[in-house]
Amino acid sequence: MSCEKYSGWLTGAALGALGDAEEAELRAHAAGCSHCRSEWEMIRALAAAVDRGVEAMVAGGPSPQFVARLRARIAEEPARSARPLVAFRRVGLATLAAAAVVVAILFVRTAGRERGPAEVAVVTLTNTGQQSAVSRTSSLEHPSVDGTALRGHRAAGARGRPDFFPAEVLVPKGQMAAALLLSEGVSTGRIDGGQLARLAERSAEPLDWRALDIQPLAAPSAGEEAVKAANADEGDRN
Amino acid sequence: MDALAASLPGTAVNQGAALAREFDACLADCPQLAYRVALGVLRNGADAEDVAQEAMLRAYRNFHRLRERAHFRGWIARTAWRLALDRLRAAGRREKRESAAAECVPEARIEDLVESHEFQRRLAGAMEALPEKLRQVMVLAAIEGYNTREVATLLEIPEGTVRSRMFLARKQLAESLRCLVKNTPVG
Repeated sequence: MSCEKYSGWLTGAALGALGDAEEAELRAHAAGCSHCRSEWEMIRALAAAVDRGVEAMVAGGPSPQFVARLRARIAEEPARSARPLVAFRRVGLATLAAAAVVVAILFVRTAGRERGPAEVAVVTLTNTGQQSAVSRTSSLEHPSVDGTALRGHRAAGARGRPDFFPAEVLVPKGQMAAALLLSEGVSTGRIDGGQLARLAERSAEPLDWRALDIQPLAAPSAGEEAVKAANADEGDRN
Repeated sequence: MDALAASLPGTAVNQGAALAREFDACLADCPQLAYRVALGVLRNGADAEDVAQEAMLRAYRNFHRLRERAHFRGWIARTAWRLALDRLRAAGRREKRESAAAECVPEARIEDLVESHEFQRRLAGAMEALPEKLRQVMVLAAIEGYNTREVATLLEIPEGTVRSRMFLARKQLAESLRCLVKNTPVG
């Protein structure tokens, strides 16, 4: 009767997957049961044969002509431009530059709110449907890129700000179009890397408008000093 | 090495001699890996070589994105596996093999059976009947000398998962072939 109990253990034991205590119990049983002993040995032999059989199934290697044939096929491949790698680097640089500017501006804005009004010059990126939200400023509208409008304005710290604030960034020379596309990508969840790369190629071109009076930005590590200086200037004017 | 670079015109591999050397180094062992994986599915040397060629060609086209060697080998193994399965399905051989494996009558003692061509045929049929994940682990384990860590690296899954899948695969294979063996009780 106990053979029924142990029959379910035999495969696990043959494959080395039985716990120590169970295997000891099975061994004790098998010592006095020729049926379970032979079954156990048979399954163990079968498992070993399975392993050897699968090894035989995947044994061998490709023919000696394999590499030559592969090289011949590679030589027939149509020539492709090395441009993707270069484009990737440019996309990466443009994205990093835009991201760094966003971080820097957010830092200054946050510090300005905490410490009181500080005059900063910004470029506002906003969807066309949001233009009215910032139209109170004396703004200069830039020709739109893919449905996005660019506005420049001077904002006096927290004073007189509208309830709705679009993202504000300062964009390095020649990176405006890439930043606009990045902004659109952030809001839509889709970034066209190829288009961003093409726009990044224009980094050598000068800006076509220069209406902003941009104050020098302090590096994030020197942000505290910049805010203190701005606050001191504000105090002098008052 | 340089000869290979010269023979690889106009692609990312030509971005530099270092990249060409890396691809050249992959040619030392990856074709065999791709071939064996394909052979484990197709069981036909010529078909397996064609699949390995296609896998290596795809690797070449994407090599500029697949520079890390451990990931590259895994990519080759998985690509060869998928291509081999596609080829098998396209050829409509799967059903034939499964029906061939359906008959199961005890014929011989295990010692006699394992040496026979019939055993290999039955084993191949039993492998075909395994779920794909178990079969893949079993084939790769046989290629890698039953090193579960290597298989886990190739498939990018935990080693414990490989071990459990290997146990299930070997258990199912043994059980499906068990019926072929006449059991002779020992003293």
